[in-house]
Amino acid sequence: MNGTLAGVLGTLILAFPLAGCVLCALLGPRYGRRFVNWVGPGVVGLSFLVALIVLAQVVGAPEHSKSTTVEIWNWLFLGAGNLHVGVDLTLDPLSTVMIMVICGVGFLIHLYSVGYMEHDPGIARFFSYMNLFIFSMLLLVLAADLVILIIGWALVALSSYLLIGYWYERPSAVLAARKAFITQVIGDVAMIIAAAMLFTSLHDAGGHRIFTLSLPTIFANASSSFSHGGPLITGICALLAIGAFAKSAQFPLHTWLPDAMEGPTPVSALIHAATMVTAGVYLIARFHVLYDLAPVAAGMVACVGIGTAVMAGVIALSQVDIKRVIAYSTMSQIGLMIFAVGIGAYTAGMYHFVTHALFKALLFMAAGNVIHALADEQDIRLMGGLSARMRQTEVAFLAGSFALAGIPIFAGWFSKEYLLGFGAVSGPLSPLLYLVGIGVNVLTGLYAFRLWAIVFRGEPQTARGYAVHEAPPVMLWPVLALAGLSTLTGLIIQWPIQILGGGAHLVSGFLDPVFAAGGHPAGEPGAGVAALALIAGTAASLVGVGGALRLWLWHQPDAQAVASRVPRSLTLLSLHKFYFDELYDAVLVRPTRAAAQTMRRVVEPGVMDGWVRGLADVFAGLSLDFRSYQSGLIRDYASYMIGATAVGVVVIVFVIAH
Amino acid sequence: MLLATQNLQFPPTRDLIGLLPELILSGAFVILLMLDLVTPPSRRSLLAAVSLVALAAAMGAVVWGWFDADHARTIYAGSFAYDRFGRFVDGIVIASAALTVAISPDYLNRRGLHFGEYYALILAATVGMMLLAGAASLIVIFLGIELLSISLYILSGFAHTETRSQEAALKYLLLGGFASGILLYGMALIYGATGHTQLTLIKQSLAGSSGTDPLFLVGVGLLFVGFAFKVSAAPFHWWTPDVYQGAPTSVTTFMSVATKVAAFASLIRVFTYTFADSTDKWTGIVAFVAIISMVVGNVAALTQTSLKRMLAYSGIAQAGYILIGVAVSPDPLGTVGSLYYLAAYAATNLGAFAVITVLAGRGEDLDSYDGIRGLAYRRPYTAAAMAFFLFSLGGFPPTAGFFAKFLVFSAAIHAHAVYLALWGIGTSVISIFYYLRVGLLMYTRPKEGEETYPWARTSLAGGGVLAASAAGTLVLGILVFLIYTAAVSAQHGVLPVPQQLA
Repeated sequence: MNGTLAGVLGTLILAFPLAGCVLCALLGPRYGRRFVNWVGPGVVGLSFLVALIVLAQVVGAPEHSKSTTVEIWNWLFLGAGNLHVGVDLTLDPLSTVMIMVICGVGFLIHLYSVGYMEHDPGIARFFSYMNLFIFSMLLLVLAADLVILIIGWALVALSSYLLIGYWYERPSAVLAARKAFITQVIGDVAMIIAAAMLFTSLHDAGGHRIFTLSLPTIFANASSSFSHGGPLITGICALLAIGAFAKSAQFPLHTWLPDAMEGPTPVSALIHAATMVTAGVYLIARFHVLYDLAPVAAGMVACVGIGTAVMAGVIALSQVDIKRVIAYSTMSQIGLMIFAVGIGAYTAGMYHFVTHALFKALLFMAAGNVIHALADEQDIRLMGGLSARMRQTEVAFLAGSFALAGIPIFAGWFSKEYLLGFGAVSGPLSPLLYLVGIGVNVLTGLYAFRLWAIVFRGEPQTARGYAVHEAPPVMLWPVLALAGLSTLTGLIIQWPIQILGGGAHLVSGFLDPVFAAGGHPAGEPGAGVAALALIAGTAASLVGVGGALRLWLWHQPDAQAVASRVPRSLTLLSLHKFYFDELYDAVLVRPTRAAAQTMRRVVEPGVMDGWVRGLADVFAGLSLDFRSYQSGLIRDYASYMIGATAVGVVVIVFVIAH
Repeated sequence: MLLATQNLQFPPTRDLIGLLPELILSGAFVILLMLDLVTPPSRRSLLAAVSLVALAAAMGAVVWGWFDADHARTIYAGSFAYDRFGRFVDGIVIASAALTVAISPDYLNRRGLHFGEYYALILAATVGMMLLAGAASLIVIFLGIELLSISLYILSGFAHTETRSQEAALKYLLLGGFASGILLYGMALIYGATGHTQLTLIKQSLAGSSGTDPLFLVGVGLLFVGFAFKVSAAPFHWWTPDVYQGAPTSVTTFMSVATKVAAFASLIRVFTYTFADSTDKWTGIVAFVAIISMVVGNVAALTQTSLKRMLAYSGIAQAGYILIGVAVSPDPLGTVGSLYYLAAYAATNLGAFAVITVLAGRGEDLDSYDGIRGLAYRRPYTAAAMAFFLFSLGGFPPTAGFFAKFLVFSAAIHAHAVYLALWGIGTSVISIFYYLRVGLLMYTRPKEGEETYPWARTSLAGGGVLAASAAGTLVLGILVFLIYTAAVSAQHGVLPVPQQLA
């Protein structure tokens, strides 16, 4: 793709949502709901059209020139040997995949929001925030300069904060927003330290320092700046990983995600399932050149990913809030993606990102239909028996659950088993982590179908359950569209090719060139191992699903009975989310608060206020002194001027001239 | 005398083209005076339109001159520099004049001051500033300063029924007279020491000497006092708060920006480039004045309760920051930083004063802090613009003010004058208090039933000027390279020939 075209497309794709954000904010209140309903989703749709052109261009480009980096403008250039920051965008297969998902899924969710937020008075604010989010996320994935990437990174956190706290009258929403933001900031700080470390340590092959954080430059000079496995690069990668963990809700920075479900459901679908939380996966994939140099950091990433996947899966089993169950499932699935990029299976991680975005957005939106129909009820114990009256939503939900659980021919099956196949042959402690991944498959099947069975089957638990209606078309069609995609994507991408005997499938054929450059992606598992892994993984998923059906659909044995036989500590651990909130509260929040209160009571009034006030008094007094010379009398002013001049002349004659 | 006759064989067209913007505005000055005689009082906005057309034409000539002046040269027998440095400053000055003219008709009408001379005088002052910016001879410098000063003396007293305005004019005139006298004395001493009035020749004659001639150095000092008065650097700033407050706000808008820009341009041309060989002798004094200005301006602004006086003291402090770029001479980054700061200051400060002008009602000028209380709840966009300008003055990213400060401070560090950067940063912290205090007042909800100042409705022109200033402030904070590259180019082409940027 030539640079001009890439520049125009990249600018357009960013400009539409930004314009939408500004238009909704400034004109939305004046022109009302109809205007906003057109503008909000419309701009994302336009961006999606541009993204399609980008896709066509990247697919059509010859093999060696898939990646185009273009400088939109030179933000800061202070001469040679000085700081240089450019607003550069990269259009390559990796960012193309990201923008396709962000704009495509984003567009469907925006459409859905028109229905979901139908009765909300703040719709202009809502779409303004949503468009801001799309803009930030696009900036993050298109950025070709670490400074710009960090700006996008922080803006994503900001828009997430705004949207979680969208219903700001609810104290719980405000608290959740705050928690999310604080966690994000921890990640941001780690990122910025990593950027500073990169900036100070980059140099080219000749040993000259490089004064830029442009990503292509960083990657091109990574091997000359860092020794393989050295402490510096390991530290940088670990810090970047902390940033990724905060964004992707991975242990130990995961506690914000379930609380973030306080936001409106479309927000959960867009930000906390499909896009923002996968930014960490993208980050590590984008920085694969560095991670390939830091095997220890990469191994840590893999372990954290798989650990989070298990932990979140266990927690999901016992939650009773429909959105929280899906949130923990998201955390678990992203754990798998993080695991994938940690072991160097970047393509597999990105593939699972794509299918996950489809089926997880679908699950959230279907859950949103349920919540909407039940007048904002989110407790699954008060649901049940919705199947009869919400047939289409149930079908869609089932499609999503099949995909999530990894049942053959559904999209999730292809990507997840492909991902786990890499785990069987690569990564630290291989194949131990792979076996844990198989366990995650069982857990996934269990919680996915537990949710379906409790919500849609059995008898309605409240009177309202008998009177529900199917969602309106504007909410149903995006859900059904995603249901179709969740069912068919894998087949479309993979089936014909494998039937025709082609080895590599479409996604890896598309993405692999990005990761091949300079890196060492994980080796493809051989055909035998792959087949074995596929069978084992599928079997595990089926075991999970079967178990869920027995426990929660057929009640033989009943789930309660089983739970009473498991050690109580285990069930409690799951119910209380491994006590992380309590732990952080005890270890971090309370000591900090206690320290702050001590400061407030003792240090602040006695010490700090003293000198702060004193300083302020000094300046205020000085200011009044200065004012007193400002008499308003010309003769005073003239004498001050002449006096100063005379002193100056004396200094010149007797000091400087000698 | 021999040199003068050699240089007198000038090709007139080339020289005339070099002065094209000044000639256009001078012509417009005459036309405006004539037109005023036949324009009925109700149609005086026409005069503003004519001025705007003239300014646009002059701007076109300046832009063309920017490309034409790629190879710098002096014209009019070496007395005027036709270089990119001058065009850069001319561009800022003309833009400030145009924006001032655009907000003036509404304001003057409300205040009952709408007279035709106003526009003619603004153009005359603009010509003076442009002459000053391009002046390559001490005589032309003096000429430019006087032309702009006399126009501004009259404009300061333009509210002829108000004693405060009259007082401002008188103060400005008398103190300005003092400053001109000192300036002229300095010029005389320099002429006595070097035998030249042209900057290039002065520079040549200084090249051989060690630069310790007391006659010359005292001249340099006195010249600096004259310039320091014009840019309102402490301790020669005394007139600034009184005149800024007393003059009609639209005049203050113009004066606070354009005068400072033009005077700084000449100051840099004379000191950094003409006295380049004796920088070690005078940079200490400049640095001292810079520090005094930053301290006095920022500290005195803390306890003000008048918007115009606060902005006046803020302007004194800003002069101190810009002087940092001169004090680090001969480091070329200093000049670039100062030029960038001038552009940023022009956009921001013009915007801030324009807000006060646009809001001023029929009675008293909008001036006291109480007058702006609760603005955000009646005029959200205007208040947002004002807050944006205040943030820029305080030096927050992503505004022009941030990069302006960043560039001068980094120039100071680059030139190993870290103490200047520290003084700058320390005093900036103080400045946040009084800038944000005004911002806070605007966003304080007025109490139930409390009377607010009767803000005028913002006209299309007023809104446009605010939008343009805000856009300028934003662009200088985001598209840094645009003006930065231009400033580097201006520094490269400055006459007398500069040190080159590494």
